[in-house]
Amino acid sequence: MKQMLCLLLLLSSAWVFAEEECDETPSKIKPLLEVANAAAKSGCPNATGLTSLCMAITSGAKDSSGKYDFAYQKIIMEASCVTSSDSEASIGRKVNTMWKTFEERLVCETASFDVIKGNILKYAVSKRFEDFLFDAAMMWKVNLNRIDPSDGRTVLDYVKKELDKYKGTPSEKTLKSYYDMLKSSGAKHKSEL
Amino acid sequence: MKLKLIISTFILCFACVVFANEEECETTEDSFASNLAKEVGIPNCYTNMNLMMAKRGRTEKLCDECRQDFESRYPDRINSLSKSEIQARVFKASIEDYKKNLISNLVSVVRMRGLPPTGNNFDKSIKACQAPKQADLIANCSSPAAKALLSNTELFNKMQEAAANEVAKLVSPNPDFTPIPILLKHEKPSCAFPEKDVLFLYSLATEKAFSPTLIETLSSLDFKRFNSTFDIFQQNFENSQINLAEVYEGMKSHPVLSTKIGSPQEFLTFIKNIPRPLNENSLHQALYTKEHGEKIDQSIASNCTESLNTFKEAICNEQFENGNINLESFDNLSKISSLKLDPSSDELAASPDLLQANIEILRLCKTSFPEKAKNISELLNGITPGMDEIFKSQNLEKFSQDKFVQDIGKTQELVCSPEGKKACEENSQSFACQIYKGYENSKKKGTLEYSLANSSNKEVNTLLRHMIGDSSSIAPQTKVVLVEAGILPQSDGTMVAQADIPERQPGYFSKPSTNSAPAPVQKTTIASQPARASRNSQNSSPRQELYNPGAYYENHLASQMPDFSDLLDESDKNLRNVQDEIMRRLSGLPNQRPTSSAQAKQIARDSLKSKGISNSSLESALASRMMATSPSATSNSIPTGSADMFDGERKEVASTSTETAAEKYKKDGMNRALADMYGARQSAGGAGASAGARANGRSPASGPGDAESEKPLSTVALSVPADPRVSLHQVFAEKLNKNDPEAQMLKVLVTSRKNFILQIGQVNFRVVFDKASQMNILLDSGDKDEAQRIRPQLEIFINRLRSI
Repeated sequence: MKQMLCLLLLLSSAWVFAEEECDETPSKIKPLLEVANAAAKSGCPNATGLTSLCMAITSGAKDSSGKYDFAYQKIIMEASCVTSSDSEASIGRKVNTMWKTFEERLVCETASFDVIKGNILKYAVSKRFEDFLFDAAMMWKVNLNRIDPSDGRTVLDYVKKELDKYKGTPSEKTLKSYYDMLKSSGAKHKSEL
Repeated sequence: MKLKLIISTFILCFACVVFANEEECETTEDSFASNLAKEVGIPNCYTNMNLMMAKRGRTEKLCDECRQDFESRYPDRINSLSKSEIQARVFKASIEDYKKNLISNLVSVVRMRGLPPTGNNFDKSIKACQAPKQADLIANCSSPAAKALLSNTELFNKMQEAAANEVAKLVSPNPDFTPIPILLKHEKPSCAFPEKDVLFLYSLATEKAFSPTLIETLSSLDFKRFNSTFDIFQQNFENSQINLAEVYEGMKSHPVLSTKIGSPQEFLTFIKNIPRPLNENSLHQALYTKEHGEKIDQSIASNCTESLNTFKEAICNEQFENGNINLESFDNLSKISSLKLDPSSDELAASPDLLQANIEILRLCKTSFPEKAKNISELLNGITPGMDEIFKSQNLEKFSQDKFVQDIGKTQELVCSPEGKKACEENSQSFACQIYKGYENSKKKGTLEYSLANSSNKEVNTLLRHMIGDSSSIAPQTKVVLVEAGILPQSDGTMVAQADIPERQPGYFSKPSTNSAPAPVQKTTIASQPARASRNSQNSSPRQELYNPGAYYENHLASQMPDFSDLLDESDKNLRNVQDEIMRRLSGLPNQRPTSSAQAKQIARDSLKSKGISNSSLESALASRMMATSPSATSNSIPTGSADMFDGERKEVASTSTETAAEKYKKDGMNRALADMYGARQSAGGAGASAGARANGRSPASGPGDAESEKPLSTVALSVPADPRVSLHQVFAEKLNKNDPEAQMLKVLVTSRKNFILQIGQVNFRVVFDKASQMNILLDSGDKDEAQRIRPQLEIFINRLRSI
């Protein structure tokens, strides 16, 4: 009986521990950040090309080298030090590391974007550039829950705000599909964090 | 025993941890599919994500999971579309694409409306962008099925309505105006910031971003090093303080700069050719030139021609007729399907339409899709050439709204928001801040922004009028906006005069040339007027004129206007407004003067009428005053109808380095009038008929080799009441409806494409056809203003006659 109780206790604590892992609590982020910091010291990931990321989204520019579909993919891959031998999982990991390291820099500010220094995911929503959103949320699975100081919103809050604004208009459905995609990829409202 | 127990417990726990971890994370891995299954139950394969996955060759969810599930639930619903259904859908999809291009072109043209002119009359664009005529499209289409679909008149009316709505939405001075409620403009009228102002202020902000330093840096680059303009900025300004996205966005939407970013060579050559020494004026001088005007004209014309040809090629062919359209092609399927539905997960297979859309998408799985996936992007690029990537796959309504949001909506919100104003304090160089300052300036008389915000560009308005086409089916509220903006004629055929300001004169931003030849046409007497004489100084700097043009307008042009105050009762507000109204109308005329007493009378009558006053003696007194204070009305007016105007090349009134801005403006006014004439001549030249007006007011000499040119043209008279208050629109409509003999005669001539003289009252028009059977209506002789009043309605009337 004692043995059974002990087992149950251990199992439940293991379960709790496992849930924490998937919830991305600081205990999970910590080692990643350590890796990121170490990598940053070795020049990888590097932020050199990231300045033009917003421009790549604005322009929807194609990758002139032909290696990728879009210029933004090339910028992200290079900043993340992705090589041709990397598997999809490895690409995701590397992009995530880069994203976490430079998240503060992944912001855009233009006259046609209604968030001052808003994160790049919001910018892609604002530009209705779903290729980037798709890659970020579905392929690379980057952190979708950054709160911008200027508007105090996450990207999901921003999409919701846009949805409310364009309710009953042709943009509503597009925004709803962004909302669903982001939510299913782990995006949360500020109130849920 | 105890040890065994501990070890086995640990093993078990470890397994639990791994299991728990994996399971949780797997849910995240495929949470979309799980959520979809949980929340909806019935799978919808027609979602953005499936489409996106499929586009990249990853079709497993679409082709395996979705299809399997779908087919198990709806095994008997999968069927084929009939031939006529396919034709109807392809036809609709093609029309939508055409309208999207039309809207894009309209927005590009409206952008130019608030900027200084490029000295071009847009003759190529006017020909290429003229609203397509139903009869012509039907006549030139080889597919009977397409012809039948094209016979739907409502379709064409809606196209013109869409064009008119788009323009009205943009040019209305009222920020709340929207012709279609569904196309919500912005959340709330958070600030009174008209769209038309956003457009030109954005362009001004872009110009300011091109600092001398940026220009010099760009000038030092070798174009051979770059594959695209994007590469130039990406590789050279990574570590600079320049906001690359902002500058790039600005260039993309700037009417002139956008034509310069096609290739690195073109862009860098343009930058290198900006006149030195670099100052705030340099870029203006390089941008607003006739050469760029022609380039814009060419570019708009090409876009129009291309989109119309794409439309015609999609439907007027054998494949369309046979219904042999490649539905395996992903882009065709998604375009056809998206006519009815948008990819979304909230309408999951809940309607027959969505079921059908799913059926169509799932057909893709029957082919080896991944191999085809690579071509999808290429195909999409080919369908809407030149269109922004983001807008390509959208249906018309969504495109229209998103385009508006991107072009104007977001900027409007940002600039109006408290955050935007706060950010302006932090970074005064940002575009948002420049736009905000520009907007504030646009409310202050005496600023460049005020002048630009309160005037418009005549040539651009003319182009917009042609792009809209027949205005008879346009909603009244939309029409009012377009009439007030000087784009459509009023019911009596006249145009509401738009303020004409120095900044709009060709060459205003050009450097004063010290080597200019003496003016080849008669000098104006304006230089002798005291108001300007006081400023007639060589010390008057171009910069001062450029940055204080509103004050210049107030001080100088206003002082050239006649004073009516002694004729009007100052105590009567209405009468006081009459003076403003007369000034407004005069400001739209060349030299701000009537050219005849008849015109002066008409201006007086119209001005009084607009204020609800009918007083013939006052009308005569006002007209006399206009003529009395108008020395240029006789000896110095632009000599319309003079043979000099039409013979030989365009002659410009040269500017000299010592002239005042007022003189320059005056000369520019002449140049502009000459340019108008030259444009007319060019236009007629294409028809093989020289626009040279003869002293006898009869037929002109035609182009070389044109046999018809040697003999006099036949003349047809059209009786129209002389009273300008009678609506020409109604007169012509009656002639059409009552099968009037004059209209019949006219119809014979226009359908046989014979050149002839059309006499209406004291005005003779020359109606000529070019080699492409394009009709041109030119003034042959008579009063130019009367001709301008009649011509828009006459064009509509004759075009209708041709299409009956």
